[in-house]
Amino acid sequence: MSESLLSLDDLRVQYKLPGRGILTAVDGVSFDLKPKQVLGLVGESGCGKSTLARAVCGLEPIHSGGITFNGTPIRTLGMRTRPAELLRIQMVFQNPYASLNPRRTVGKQIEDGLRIHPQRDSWSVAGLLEEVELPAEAANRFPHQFSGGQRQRIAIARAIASGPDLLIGDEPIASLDASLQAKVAGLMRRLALESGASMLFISHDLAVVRTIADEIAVMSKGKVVELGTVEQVWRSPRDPYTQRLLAAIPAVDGLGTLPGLPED
Amino acid sequence: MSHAKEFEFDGARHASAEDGLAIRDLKIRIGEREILHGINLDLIPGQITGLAGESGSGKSITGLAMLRLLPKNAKTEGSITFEGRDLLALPERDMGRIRGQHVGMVFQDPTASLHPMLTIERQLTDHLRAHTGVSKKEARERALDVLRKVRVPLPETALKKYPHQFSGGQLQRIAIAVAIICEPRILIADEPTTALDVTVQAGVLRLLRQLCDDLGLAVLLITHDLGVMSSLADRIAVLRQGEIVEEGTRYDVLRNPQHEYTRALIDALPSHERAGADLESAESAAPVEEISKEVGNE
Ligand SMILES: Nc1ncnc2c1ncn2[C@@H]1O[C@H](COP(=O)(O)OP(=O)(O)OP(=O)(O)O)[C@@H](O)[C@H]1O
Ligand SMILES: Nc1ncnc2c1ncn2[C@@H]1O[C@H](COP(=O)(O)OP(=O)(O)OP(=O)(O)O)[C@@H](O)[C@H]1O
Ligand SMILES: [Mg+2]
Ligand SMILES: [Mg+2]
Repeated sequence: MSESLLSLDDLRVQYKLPGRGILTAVDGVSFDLKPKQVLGLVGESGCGKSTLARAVCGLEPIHSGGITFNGTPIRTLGMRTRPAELLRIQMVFQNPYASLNPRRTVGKQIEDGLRIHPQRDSWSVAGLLEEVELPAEAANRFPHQFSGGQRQRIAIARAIASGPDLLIGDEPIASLDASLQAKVAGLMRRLALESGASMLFISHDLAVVRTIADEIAVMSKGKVVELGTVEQVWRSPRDPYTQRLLAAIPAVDGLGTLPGLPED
Repeated sequence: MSHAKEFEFDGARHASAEDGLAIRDLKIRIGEREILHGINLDLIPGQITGLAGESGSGKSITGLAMLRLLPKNAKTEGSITFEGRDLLALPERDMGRIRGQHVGMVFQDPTASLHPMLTIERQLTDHLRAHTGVSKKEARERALDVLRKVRVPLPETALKKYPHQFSGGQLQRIAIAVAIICEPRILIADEPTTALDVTVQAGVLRLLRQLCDDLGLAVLLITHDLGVMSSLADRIAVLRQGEIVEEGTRYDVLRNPQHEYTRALIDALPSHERAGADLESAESAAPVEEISKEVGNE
């Protein structure tokens, strides 16, 4: 299908474990992502979400199956520099330190992104910082001088700056409070759609994904166990794991109720 | 002592901050900016004190100050009293002992407490052996035990792995394991469950509650997640731009917030309405316009 921007075909990624074990972290995943589409990827901790995202960026060796981006197969990077094609993919890593260069000021790093933006002058450093609710003077500081949530927002601004075709966010707003989460998630969706890009949005929080994704894929132990529209998955989850995910969301009732503990 | 103060909380138990840790008039300045403008906070054995507040309000800086791990150009004023001594005035050598043994910390960045080039076994057991002098074998047993408690899968294999070989949420649980293995009296947990999905989170929340109840641990729980707050915290303080704008029992703060900022936080919570409820179709639940769908998965 030529109309899909990103396409995963029976993708497998494996890790060697100490001893002789092998872990298939991504175990036969297939899906297509079209331009202007937002796919939410949820699943329990350790199910393979970050591994999948890194593989799409060419950062994990593919064991079998394939990834096609804009019609070109993605090969593992190794020591080569990133080919121009891959620069059209931007990822906000789960650990915001990993997305940022500790030795360059925030402003310089956002400028680096703006320089490869296909439509020049679409953004300014100050404009982007404002979108993520940071003051313009933040541009002169270094990443370590910010709080965890501020750093996450800087990483998002940096990724958006280069106007990617595919924006991948790996738990990009996990350390923000609910009002900022809503704002920043909305921003990511808006920017992706306005520029005709698509987005893969990874989160362990179904309630957050639901507000910005068109479709949700639920992963468990390396496999996609459920895939459907936001409404379908939220209201009538078919997979038992998805059902448990919904049951364990803590309620804000002030009563000290510990959320339901699922049987393993 | 001046900070001895009686607290009432939901369980109608009484406890005194004298046995825990008391922060008084804490001011912190980094470079030109004053980050904390004089805050008071009590950590009480067997209780979980929640610290909420917007991104950048000073929550992590408060936690770091308690272990004196602030950036070099930081200046502090006020006092942090633990076991009758002011931590801010303690010689660095004594502080080192307190850090390892009596006050455990789960950092917001889970890799901050882990050495990238040591196996998980070394990280857990070196720490334990240095502070308690237990045998190598016993230390290994305790390490396995604590990994099971925080629900790290395949604990035996996990001991042989290095930090980069784990997922984000697994690292976060290992960081919790490092913080509690020496059975500290005070635990500072800075956003300890942000990388965990709700099912794993439920287990970790239960563990924290249990440590509190069984060992009389005093916990400072820093979190932006009001769901986590509502499940765990006995009392909640809300920080805003370096000042505590609201403090009270969990129930009062969440059910009857006095400050506008707290109210806004609660109003902004994503709705969990109709989760799993297979309704035909009333109004659309998600504020998302219809877009071309069909993600093929054949
Ligand atoms: N370099 C590695 N070597 C061995 N195992 C690894 C390595 N990286 C990840 N793993 C394992 O692969 C599995 C998938 O990890 P991954 O980081 O993709 O999970 P995740 O879904 O992103 O989880 P989280 O929500 O906790 O971040 C985990 O069990 C993890 O321990
Ligand atoms: N090393 C530093 N140098 C200068 N300013 C700093 C430094 N570390 C933090 N700050 C500033 O101090 C303020 C408080 O930071 P802190 O990390 O305590 O926030 P926080 O409440 O934990 O936020 P978050 O929820 O985003 O983690 C922020 O405005 C931040 O920019
Ligand atoms: Mg991950
Ligand atoms: Mg913080």
